[in-house]
Order: sequence, then C-alpha cells, then structure tokens
Amino acid sequence: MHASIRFNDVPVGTSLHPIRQEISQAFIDRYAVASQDFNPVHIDPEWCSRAQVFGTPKTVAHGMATMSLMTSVVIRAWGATAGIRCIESKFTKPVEVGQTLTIQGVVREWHPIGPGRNFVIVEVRAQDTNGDLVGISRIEVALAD
Amino acid sequence: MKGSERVAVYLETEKQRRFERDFLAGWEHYETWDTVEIGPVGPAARDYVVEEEDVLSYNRACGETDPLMVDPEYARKHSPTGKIIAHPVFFTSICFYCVSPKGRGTWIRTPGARNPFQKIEIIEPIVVGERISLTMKTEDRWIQRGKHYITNLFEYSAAGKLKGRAWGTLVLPSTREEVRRFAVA
Repeated sequence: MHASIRFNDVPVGTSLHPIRQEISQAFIDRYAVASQDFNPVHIDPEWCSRAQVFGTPKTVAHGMATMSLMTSVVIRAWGATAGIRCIESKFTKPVEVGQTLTIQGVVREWHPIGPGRNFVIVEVRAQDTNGDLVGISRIEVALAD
Repeated sequence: MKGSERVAVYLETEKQRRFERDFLAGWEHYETWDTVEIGPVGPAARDYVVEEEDVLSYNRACGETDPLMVDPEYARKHSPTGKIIAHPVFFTSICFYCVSPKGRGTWIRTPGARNPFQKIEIIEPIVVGERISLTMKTEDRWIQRGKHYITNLFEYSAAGKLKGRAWGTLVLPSTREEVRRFAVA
C-alpha cells in the first residue's frame, strides 16, 4: 500500500487515515527519555502544581511529541519512506496529561512542478478530548510521479 | 520522587543513561532571553553518532509499529538503506543531546519555557551510523503581546553535508530572575 502512493493518487481534498493517541504520563515520560527533553513541565507533577506554567497544575505533553504525532499521520498513511521535506507546526493549546488526541490530515495543496519534483502539502490538525485544536501542521511531501 | 528520577525506568540507550536529566540543576548557567547574543554561529557542545538503539527508542516513543521503523531485521532486508528508518522529528532528540547544560543554546532547557511553533526542513533523512554535527545560531528575539520569543536555527550535518535545518522557537521567562521563579518553584 505504502510504496504505491503516487502524486496523481492524492489530489487536493484527499484525507489521510486519522490516528488517536492517549496522552498518559507514561507516554509523556517515554517521549521525554526518547527526545531527551526533561523539562519539569512535562515530567514533574509536583513541580507543575506549584509552577503552573500554563495555568494548570497538570503536566503537559511536549510540543515536539504533538509535532511527531502530526507527522506520524503522514508516515502511517504513506509509509516510513514518505518523502517528507518540511514540517511546520504551531501549538495552539497545551495538551494536559489525560487527554486523548485525534489527529487528521488532508491534502490541501497539489504542486505539479515536473517529473521528480512534484509535491503536496498535507495539513494536519490535532484535537484534544474536548474537540479543541491543540496543534496544526503544514507538511510538505515529495511524491513519486 | 522527582520526575527526572521517576522516568529512569524508561532509559533504553547509552546516551540516555549518560544524559543530565535534571533540567532544574544548573539553571543559573542557562542563557536567558535578555542576555543571549543574536547572530553568531557556533558548534554544539558535542556530536551525535546515530545508533540503532537511538532511532528505535524515538520511533517506539512515538507509537510507530511499521517494521521499517521498529524491526531491525526486517529493515535490513527491506529498507532502502538496509537500516531502520528514523522518524522525521528525530532531529529534536539530536538537538537536546548535543546542547550541553552549559553555554550556547542552553535556553532550550529553561524551566517555564513554552513551545509556540517549530519548523524542520529535511534535506536528507538521518541514517543509523552517521556522525551528526550541529551548529547553532540564535536568529531573533522579540516581544509580542507581552511574551518574550526567541528563535534558534540548528543546522545538522554529516560528513560535511547538510542533512537538515530546524528553527526552534520558544516563549521564555524574560530574565534570570524570572527563570529563578520557575526554577525554585
């Protein structure tokens, strides 16, 4: 399935299969270790209850974890070798521990530049349990002709 | 138990075991928004030799299950490089490892920091076995709606060839005294 994705297969409006991810403290902790970002706002509940960096006493997920999950929408739909060339992500609301993210992608731009140079822009949006937007990404993907 | 101690159960790699996990330790030495120098380019404190275990750890933490990303034996037979494929945002792990707890770029460890937006440009995927060198330049700082923003450009190279760029932006406490408020909370 993955290797067969071609530029002409994914016109503007193509939806990518959504993913869901529960943001447990274990998920946050494991991401902290893997990314080596040990900021206490992510991993130290007692410090968070005192510091309230985001106005909440809870820990929050790494923005880079949300960015990774938004990027994962593309690689899970189109394969690990998908030609991702650029990822721009904006984080619009802190993701508190205990939330479940639903992340969806849609092809928004289709760039027929020429053989070997064609690419699309996938817009990926992440929403929390309440349906609030927590992150939005613009992901440029080069695709085979 | 402090968070930096509790997460030790998840340590998987040699780099992770050696890494200074307590970001509240040594905050007095971190660069701050009001003192950081804009413009000069310099190397990070250390290089990053990409090991299979590093990539596996990041991919698994993101929840990936594609055997090209999590099964080294499968990847040896089916991956274009013969090696497991790194998640595109793996660049961020390299960045935190290469920036030391002292000196240039330490503001990325600041307690009280918030992450508003990020950009990663991938010129070539990171491949297991490469030695990645990182250079850093603080490109800009600004105040907008009362928040203090700072943007750093990180450039990742292997064997002299540019692999990717990342523009990392944070909202920071504006002064060391402001950082202290979070560091001792």
